[in-house]
Amino acid sequence: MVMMLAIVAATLLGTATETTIAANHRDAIQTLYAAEAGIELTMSRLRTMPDWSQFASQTPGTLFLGGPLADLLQSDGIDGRVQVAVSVFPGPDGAPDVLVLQSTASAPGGSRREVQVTIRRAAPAEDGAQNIETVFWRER
Amino acid sequence: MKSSAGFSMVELLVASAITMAIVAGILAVIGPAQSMARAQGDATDLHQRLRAAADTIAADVRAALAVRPYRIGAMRDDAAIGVYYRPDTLTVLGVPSSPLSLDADASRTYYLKSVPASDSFQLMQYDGGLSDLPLLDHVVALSFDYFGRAGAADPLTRLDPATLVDGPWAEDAAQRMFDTDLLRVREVRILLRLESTDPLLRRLVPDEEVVLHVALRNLSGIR
Repeated sequence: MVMMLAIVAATLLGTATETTIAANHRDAIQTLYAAEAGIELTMSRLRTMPDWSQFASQTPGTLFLGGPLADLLQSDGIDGRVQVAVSVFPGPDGAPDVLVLQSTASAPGGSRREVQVTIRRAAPAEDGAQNIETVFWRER
Repeated sequence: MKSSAGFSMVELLVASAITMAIVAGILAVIGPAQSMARAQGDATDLHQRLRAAADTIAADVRAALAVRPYRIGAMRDDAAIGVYYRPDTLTVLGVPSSPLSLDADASRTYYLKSVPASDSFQLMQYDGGLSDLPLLDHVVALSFDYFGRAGAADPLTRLDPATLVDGPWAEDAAQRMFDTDLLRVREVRILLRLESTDPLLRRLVPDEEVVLHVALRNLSGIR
């Protein structure tokens, strides 16, 4: 009986451990995608701004957007506990059409991912829409 | 006069038979339960190895400036022997040597190395220099497929491996020749299949397979 109880306890412990690991892994992936969503949202808003010079002098960076990702995207299908903050920095060479976006996402379990993207304003599309191209993308 | 003390032979035999039946029943339950307990630990380990390996490769592919379906580096360079495609080999170029740094010359090659003793493979990671290290044991299968678009508005389709070795050819920043069809790669499909580390448990812990489609993010970098 004692042996059976020990085996059952070990099995339950193993299951709980596996569930925790799987949940942490899911959170890590979820926060990475959330950080990328923050970058995409920022880029879509920057596309509508004809002048980026307001960011060129902000050496410490400008908090561009922040809060629960579900609110930022106005979507019910996203975990409301995932927080995103995106800051905009001037480009490394001071060019007015180059910016560095840094997006940080965090989940309640402690998972935190950061994506840094350097973008450059490209030639407008054929329909006249503002265009942005990604120069450099990194995560950590 | 007949004594009433002690047990008769028949009673002892019956008692022994009952005891043996109970013990056999207990052993019959405990044996599989122990196997299941061991198998569960092994399955957890299998899942964790799969997650760790898939995350490692996927992170490099996401950050890569370019990919090559063959080994690149100072040791056993595939291009030096005219090999430009291996289905189980992937080199990522321009991977960061540290977080948020760009090192255009850095590369990492992932490939399988046969281990005859265990009749399986090791997942190896080669840094393009002198470090060629095993990442993972008991790998059953690893394969890479490459996806791209024929035109800007076309959907992603799998690039036929034959098109990745038939030219036209170009030189990258390090003067290495590569098939220009690799410039069309926008996504890499990674298939990784692992087996249990314990051959005795493979009946209870079947092989696990993960398939990832990873988009390259640094498309504007050096190719």
